[in-house]
Amino acid sequence: MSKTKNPPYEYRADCRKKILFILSGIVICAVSFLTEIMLGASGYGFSEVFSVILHPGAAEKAARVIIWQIRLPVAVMAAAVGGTLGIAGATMQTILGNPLASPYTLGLSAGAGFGAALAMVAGLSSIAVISGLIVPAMAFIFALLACMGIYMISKLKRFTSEIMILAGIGMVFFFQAGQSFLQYTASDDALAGIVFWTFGSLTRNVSWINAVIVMIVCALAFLYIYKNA
Amino acid sequence: MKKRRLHTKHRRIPAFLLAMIAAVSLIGCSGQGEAQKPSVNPETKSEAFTVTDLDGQTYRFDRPIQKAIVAWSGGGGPFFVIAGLFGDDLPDALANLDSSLSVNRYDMYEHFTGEMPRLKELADFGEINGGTFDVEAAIASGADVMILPLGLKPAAQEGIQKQLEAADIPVIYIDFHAETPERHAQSVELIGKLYGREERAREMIDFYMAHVEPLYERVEKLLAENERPLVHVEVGMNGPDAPPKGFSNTYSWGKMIYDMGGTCTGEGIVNNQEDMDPEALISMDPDKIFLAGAYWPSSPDSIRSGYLSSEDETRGLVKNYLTRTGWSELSAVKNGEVYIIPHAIARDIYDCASYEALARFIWPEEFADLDPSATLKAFFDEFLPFSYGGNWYMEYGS
Repeated sequence: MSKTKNPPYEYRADCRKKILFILSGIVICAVSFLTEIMLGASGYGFSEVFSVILHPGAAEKAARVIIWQIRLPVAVMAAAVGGTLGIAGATMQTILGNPLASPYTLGLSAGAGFGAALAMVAGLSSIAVISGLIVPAMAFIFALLACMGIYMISKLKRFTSEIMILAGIGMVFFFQAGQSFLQYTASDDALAGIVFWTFGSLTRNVSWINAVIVMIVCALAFLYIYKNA
Repeated sequence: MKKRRLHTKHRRIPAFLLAMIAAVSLIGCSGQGEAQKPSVNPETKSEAFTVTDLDGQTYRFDRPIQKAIVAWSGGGGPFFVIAGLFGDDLPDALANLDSSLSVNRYDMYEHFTGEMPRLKELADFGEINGGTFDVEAAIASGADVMILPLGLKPAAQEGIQKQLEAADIPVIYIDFHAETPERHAQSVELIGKLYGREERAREMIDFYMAHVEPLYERVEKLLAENERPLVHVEVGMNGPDAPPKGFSNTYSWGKMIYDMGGTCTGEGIVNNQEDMDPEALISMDPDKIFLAGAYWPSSPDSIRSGYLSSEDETRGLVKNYLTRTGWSELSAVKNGEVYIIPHAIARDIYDCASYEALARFIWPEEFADLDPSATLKAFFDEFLPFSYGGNWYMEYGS
């Protein structure tokens, strides 16, 4: 029976460094989360905020709306979005062996931005019933098209990592050019909408439903990728 | 050099695709929200009084409101009507003062805050259609309602309306941008009823109607015997080097001009207000040119009108516009049919003065009895807590 050797000192040090790095990240996230729910124009203090969180039924209506419908969904959404982007970026970097890979550098964000801009410029968001869904739906569709574009180009070259990255960069330029054209033709309101959308602002209409959807997707993606890592 | 190959039949590609989908899924949740019908909890309101806004929604209040959140105070919002209702107590009736007054009507803002410094103390909650509106500050302000122009409804329904209504702050819509006497009157009546100052609102409506209604009747008679003069109206905001913008007959100044018997160069060419081909404009050879001015400090070549303008200065700025290529040959320029109108005095309760100016400039002989500047001064003197002054309407001449 072979005797298990202790890992080399360098490996253990590297692991310790990574664990420290992850713990630091968690602490920074927690502090950011608390800061987000503590700060706001209404000037509620620490104890008031936590009182409203713990006892929403006993709080004034304005305070309840501000904490539970404005601040908390934004904080939860920010954490979920950050987590999901982190998982996506880490997976892409690992698979492609390139630390620059991310949804931004591979053109997915550009595709989404183009789809959202197209919906806003075309005035699709004014269509009744689907008005609230059409912009994210279009963004989703065009981001998937960007994925498909990368996949198709990469397939031709047997999925080498270099080709996938180059295809992604091509997608970035392709969709950014399209978005620039749309911005040129956009009305003032549509232009403002596009700019805020591409900023990734979380202050516009974040609701619990949206936040929970992202949290579920984040959790499922993490579990699947962790299982198959 | 040998390229690193990925194992497509293994689990890397599905994982990669899943990562992409996870990233993409964020998109589905970062956009615009569900449009919601306004709904104020009817059970929390008694039958004290009911109002129906310009969006057709009915609201009940158990007492007149004290304070409202406002938007588009530079024009089209409720600011000037509330100023007319409250006079020197105006700041008490406002929860905020948006930046459209200070940014787009700088001369008015300087003049108004000079005479009423308390206006400067009002918070600016940000822009609704710019995505910077601080809904938390709005809720914390203790306002009873939000009064918005109907044009802001799509932006408001993206999110802030639902949040405000959850805090029992209904969003009430007015509509001065329709540029019809009926919608103007309904908007003023609505604001007056909300604040419990219906009599004062009625006085404003009566003033407005007394000036505007006869114009419609007289223009109708004129059009029975005359062709509509062709008018090029342009907002002189970006200076003469910018391409000329035209209006259609259904939007803003275009509609006002059409109602007063003219027809615009942009009709059938532009949607609402857009750039026009300079050659097309020259070939159309308009009978009259109207340049709308204000005070835009960031654009020194813009047409100036209002409090911080003088006739000589405006004349010099207009002269720059007339040096545009080919404009010296236009009939309007040769015949001295160039006029300055104030961009501020439109889509609001005091635009009766601008209707008079347009009627007079389009039909100089038939409406020689009108004095739009005097009408504007009368409105200020009778209703607004600010003094009249400056240079608003002007005939450039030859």
